[in-house]
Amino acid sequence: MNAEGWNRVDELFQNAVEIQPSDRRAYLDKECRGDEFLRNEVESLLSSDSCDWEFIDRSALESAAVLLADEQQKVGHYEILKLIGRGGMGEVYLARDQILNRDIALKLLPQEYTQDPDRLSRFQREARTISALNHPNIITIYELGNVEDQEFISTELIEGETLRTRLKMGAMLIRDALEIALQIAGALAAAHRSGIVHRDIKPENIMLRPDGYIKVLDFGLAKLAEQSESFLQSTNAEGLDMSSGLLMGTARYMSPEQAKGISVDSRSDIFSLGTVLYEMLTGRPPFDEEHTATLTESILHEDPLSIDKLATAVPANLVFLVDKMLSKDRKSRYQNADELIKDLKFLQKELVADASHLESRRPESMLGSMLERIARWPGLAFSLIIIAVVLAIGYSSFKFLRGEAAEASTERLLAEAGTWTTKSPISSPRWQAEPAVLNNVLYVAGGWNVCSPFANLESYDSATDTWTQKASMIRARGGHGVAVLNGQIYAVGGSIDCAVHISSVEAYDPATDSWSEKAPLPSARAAHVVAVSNGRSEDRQVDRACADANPAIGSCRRGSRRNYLCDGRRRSVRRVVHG
Amino acid sequence: MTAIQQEITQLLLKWSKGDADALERLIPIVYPELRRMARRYMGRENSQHTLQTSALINEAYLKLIDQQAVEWQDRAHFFAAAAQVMRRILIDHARRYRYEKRGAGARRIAIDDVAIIADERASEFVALDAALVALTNLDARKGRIVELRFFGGLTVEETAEVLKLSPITIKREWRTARAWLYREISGENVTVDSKL
Ligand SMILES: Nc1ncnc2c1ncn2[C@@H]1O[C@H](COP(=O)(O)OP(=O)(O)OP(=O)(O)O)[C@@H](O)[C@H]1O
Ligand SMILES: [Mg+2]
Repeated sequence: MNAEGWNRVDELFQNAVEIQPSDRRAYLDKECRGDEFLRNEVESLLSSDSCDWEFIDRSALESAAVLLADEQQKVGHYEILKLIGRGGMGEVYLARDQILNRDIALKLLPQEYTQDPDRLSRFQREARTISALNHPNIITIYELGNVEDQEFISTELIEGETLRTRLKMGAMLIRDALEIALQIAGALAAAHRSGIVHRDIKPENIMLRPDGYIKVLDFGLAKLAEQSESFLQSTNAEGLDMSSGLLMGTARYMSPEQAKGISVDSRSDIFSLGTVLYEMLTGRPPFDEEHTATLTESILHEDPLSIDKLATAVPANLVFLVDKMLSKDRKSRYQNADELIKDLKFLQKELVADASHLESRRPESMLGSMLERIARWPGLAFSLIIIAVVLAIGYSSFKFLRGEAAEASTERLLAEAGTWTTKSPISSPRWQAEPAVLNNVLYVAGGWNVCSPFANLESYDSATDTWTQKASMIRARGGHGVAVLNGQIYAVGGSIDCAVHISSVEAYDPATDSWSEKAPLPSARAAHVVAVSNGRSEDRQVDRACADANPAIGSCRRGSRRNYLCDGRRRSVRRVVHG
Repeated sequence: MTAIQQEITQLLLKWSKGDADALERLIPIVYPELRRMARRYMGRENSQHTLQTSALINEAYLKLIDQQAVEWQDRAHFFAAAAQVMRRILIDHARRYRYEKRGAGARRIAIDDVAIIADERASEFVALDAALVALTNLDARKGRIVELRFFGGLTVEETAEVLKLSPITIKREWRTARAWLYREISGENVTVDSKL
């Protein structure tokens, strides 16, 4: 068809669609004057015009979005399965680690924030901090990285619900609230000892696992603090932008120091934990105002309704404890998490005792109960001893637990086709006992028990399910890195005491069953990751031993095929051993 | 405005002014951005939700470019360029999608609503692209209108502004283009009186 012919078709079509369908036939009769071709063209277009065609009526991008959604979405070696949650700092996804074949939680930082160095370092600091604090109540971090300009952090996937979800069911039993507060306080104590203030303790950041473990998430706000301070100062009554939901959620649990925008220390977390404990006990937050201005006002100046007005059977000591946590003046609060832990434990015991004596004891006069309160609280000398003993037992059983974890990881290595089988245990319970597989034999080297390091190397025979002692390492150590290189097992760094890191590197030769000393690391480090890169057998190198020598440097990410980078600190990349 | 927006806008401007290399640099920036948007607005856990919220993505895309930064006299070129880039990315994507689903690397069969619809859409994209080439040969202006509206996500008014035509004209031309494309794609020899 020539241009002229097409223009005519176009014109007739455009006119025809403007008139009633019933009048179109007559219109075309008149205009086409027996030109069958022209008529056919216009009529077929009219027929097409009346068809539904959703695809063209929405924009291309909408359709493309469905395609994108259907693709298996991947970030590096993680396959994204589903969105779990969304907060102020990006989205959290359930994802599958395709190398280790396990489900993990993947937090993606929206790209608009990775442009912002503050946000980015907040994110990285969160990662580094968490990985340095090896604590059962703090989420375990697996990896911090960047793929296609997408910053991400992968962490253990926590089964269970957030405390926020749990609180939707209302107030909790005192017993449960105390247990949760105690575990959070444990996480805080560890963080505070390393000089880290959480700054964002709130129910959204606490997860309850079905097995009773509490996990504290998101030690990431620290670096953003300056930003939110100026933010708070620059906003007025209704001025807070709630678009992210972050500030309001956070604001309810913030301390007076945070509300004022002055610098905060670990006692700020104690206050926030107080607000969380208050909410667990009463079902409502202590400071509950709708608007930020009034909320800030009451955090700064108002005493919340006492918990025994909102809940029943609250022991007087618990009222005292919550009040103390919620003191406006931080000097009147618990000065550190350990002090708080002592009192929480004391209360726990008191609760058990009360429950068993409930029948025999009667509520005494006011005076009597006051005397009792005074007598019981400072009766600390005795209870302190008990608490010390309890703590010691708790501590060692925690270590034992870690020993079991080491066994469990043995089980995992040995597990067949995804089923778990219990295998015979290693010679003694310990944690951070590092496994290595060499010539198809599993070895476990070193590890800890209550600050005593082991030098043992044991090998496992799967046919007989037995362990054999091999030559001990030259230096006993735990928290070391292990790598297999050129037929030898390397033990790299680690610590020889709860606090003393070493730089020693030694290698085990199975042919001679002996260890030999190698060039030491440039600096002492523990709880680090050692990688063998450039996996071709002819020139293998341990390219990296990147450390978090407590807590300076965090986990590592892969920069290129040959080099591993440590969180942008290129200088800390060192070639350690040449194969 | 974010650095990404700035970069995309600058590259689009360069490309619209004839810098061929700009396109090669644009695609790797825009494409991951689209994936990210898709990730944000959709998730396959709920296909109903996926299909409904896909409209949001268009808005998000338009925010990717910083319209204020474009000088008035550049606008026509600029949006034409943006629509072309989008067309190229999406069509390539649909081709790859179909290849992966059906070609040598076919891994999965359609497992749910999202997959079934996605498969249909991918085929429609590929067919539309071919039909649009033919339409442009026949009537270049209609080809541009479709490119701007469908791939560029512009409204009738915006398209009119870019092409310096009246919105009425755009609407009328769009209608012919739509009917023509539909006929081309469905390959129907329409029986004459059924629809009249
Ligand atoms: N490791 C994890 N395992 C399971 N669920 C998680 C994990 N991390 C986060 N979540 C879920 O995702 C939700 C969102 O987390 P995110 O930290 O992004 O937001 P938030 O805690 O509400 O706000 P903020 O950004 O201030 O921390 C959490 O409330 C929790 O329900
Ligand atoms: Mg959080």
